[in-house]
Amino acid sequence: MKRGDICIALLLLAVAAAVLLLRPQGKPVVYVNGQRITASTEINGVVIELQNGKARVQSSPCRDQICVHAGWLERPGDVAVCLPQRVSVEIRSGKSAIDAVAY
Amino acid sequence: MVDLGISARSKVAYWGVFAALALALSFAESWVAPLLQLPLGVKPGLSNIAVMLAAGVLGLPAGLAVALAKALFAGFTRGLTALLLSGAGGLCSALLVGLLLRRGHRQAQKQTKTGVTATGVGILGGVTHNLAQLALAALLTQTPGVFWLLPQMIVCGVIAGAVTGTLAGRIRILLHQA
Amino acid sequence: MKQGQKRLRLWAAIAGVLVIAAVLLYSLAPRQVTQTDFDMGSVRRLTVWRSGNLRLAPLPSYEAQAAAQPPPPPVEALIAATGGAFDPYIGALVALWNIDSKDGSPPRVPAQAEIDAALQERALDPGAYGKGLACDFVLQALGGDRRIRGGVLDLGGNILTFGSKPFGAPFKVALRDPLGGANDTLGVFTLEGTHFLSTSGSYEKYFTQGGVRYHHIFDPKTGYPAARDPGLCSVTVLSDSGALGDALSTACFVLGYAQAGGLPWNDRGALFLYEDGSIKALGDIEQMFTITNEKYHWVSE
Repeated sequence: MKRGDICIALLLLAVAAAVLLLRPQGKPVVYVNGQRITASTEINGVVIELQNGKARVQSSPCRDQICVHAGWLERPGDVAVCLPQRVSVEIRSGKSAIDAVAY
Repeated sequence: MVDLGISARSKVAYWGVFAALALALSFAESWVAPLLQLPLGVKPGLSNIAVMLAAGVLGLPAGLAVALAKALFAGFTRGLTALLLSGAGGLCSALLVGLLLRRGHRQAQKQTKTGVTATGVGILGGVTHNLAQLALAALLTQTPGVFWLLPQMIVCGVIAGAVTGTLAGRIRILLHQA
Repeated sequence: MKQGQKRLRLWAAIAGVLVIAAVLLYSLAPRQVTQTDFDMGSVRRLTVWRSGNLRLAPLPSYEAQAAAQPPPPPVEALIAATGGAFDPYIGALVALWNIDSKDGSPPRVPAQAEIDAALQERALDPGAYGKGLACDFVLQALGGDRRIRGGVLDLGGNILTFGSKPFGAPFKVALRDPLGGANDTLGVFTLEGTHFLSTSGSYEKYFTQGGVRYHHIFDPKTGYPAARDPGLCSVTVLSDSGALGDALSTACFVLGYAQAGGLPWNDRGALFLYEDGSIKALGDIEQMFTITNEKYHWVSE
């Protein structure tokens, strides 16, 4: 483990930290495969449950069950993907598009 | 091309050894991964050892071949998605390692001009492997949001890559001496 | 060893550059800060993009100040300009109907005699322009902070945008659908620079009695909730002044679309929303607003 190696490692970890800090904040909005959903639903055999603004993959016919093990998705940026079934569930920031609401 | 002073026949033998190693590690990995419950199927990167070894010791073509073999094996045992995933990760890291190690092949354990050893190359290979898989996942599911998993992928890649790289470097020395 | 020393210096130089870059980034890059408190009886949320440290000085409450001062001259001038349709001195009338009661007592429909008596009195009710005025105060207060690049203020639905967002992105302010729920919007304003948005509508505060709905924007001529433009349920004014914009929205709601055309609209604009989904515009506002709700549509006259 030499200087150059440590530099590479630190640089990469700095990028990781930067991405972590840049995560969007805002009201969580659930998107499945790029489309917004507002209620529990099922796609390609993958059952997605919505509750209190949080979402999770309840069950899936895939072999590895990684999507299910991802658990509850709460903050903008949280993602669960089931590649074999081609289903992705992500939380996006809802408020980022609008700065304020006038009334 | 790397010149380890081994005969052409030995080289072919080594190709086979690494390929077999890749498959064995793949198998072991599929056992271990569900236990660790990493996000998005981030593999501990064990089987990538063989790919990076092949690329580093025998050169880029060998690395690519082993990566391909690993991908096909994954495809047969775990389906098309596994094939694509393994292929993307393996090919990209093989490319990276193969191209980088072409220059420093005799100084794997010694300090090269830039202070980067096999460990560093391993780190880069490991992170590239994970990034490639992330990109593939984003493509397949049309979800660019997948990239918010970058921090975890980088950390896993650095750790697994460092271990893999160091190991690969040691094995190169051993092989060179054999 | 020379080689080692050289390399050490190189690393030190790189480290030094990185540190300097980090400090520069920290002090120059604008970051978002949000502050939420209360004023003028509503929630006041201020979001600014500011460089340097992330602490904002707390804003004072302007409620007392707005009530103690006479209306700003442009607002005062609006009384004559609208022929009395806008009149902030109907405090007695407002208290009589008690729609916005401070002590929890219910609103009621007063007797005609009571209304006539109240119309004779002259008491200032800053509600017609108060929130807009408070927005003006905030803009003044923030003007001294040179680290603030831009921001958005939401004071009970009155919006102030000023400066610019990072990367020159325009401000996006949605407009709530007066006939929908609290989360339903009907369109978005895309704004750059300093703008005030004020809305007056019949669905904000009202009560129902005997099957009739009485809202809180009174016609100073009749003493009853304004009803000159049937079907009109909300007016939103975009202007360069908080107090005047707020006053204009009240004035327009009372006057109705047809009569409001005579008011000074240079560089300002207004949207008139009707119960049937039609939207009419006055002044310079159409190109800054995009309808996103299919229940609504533009109507040109």
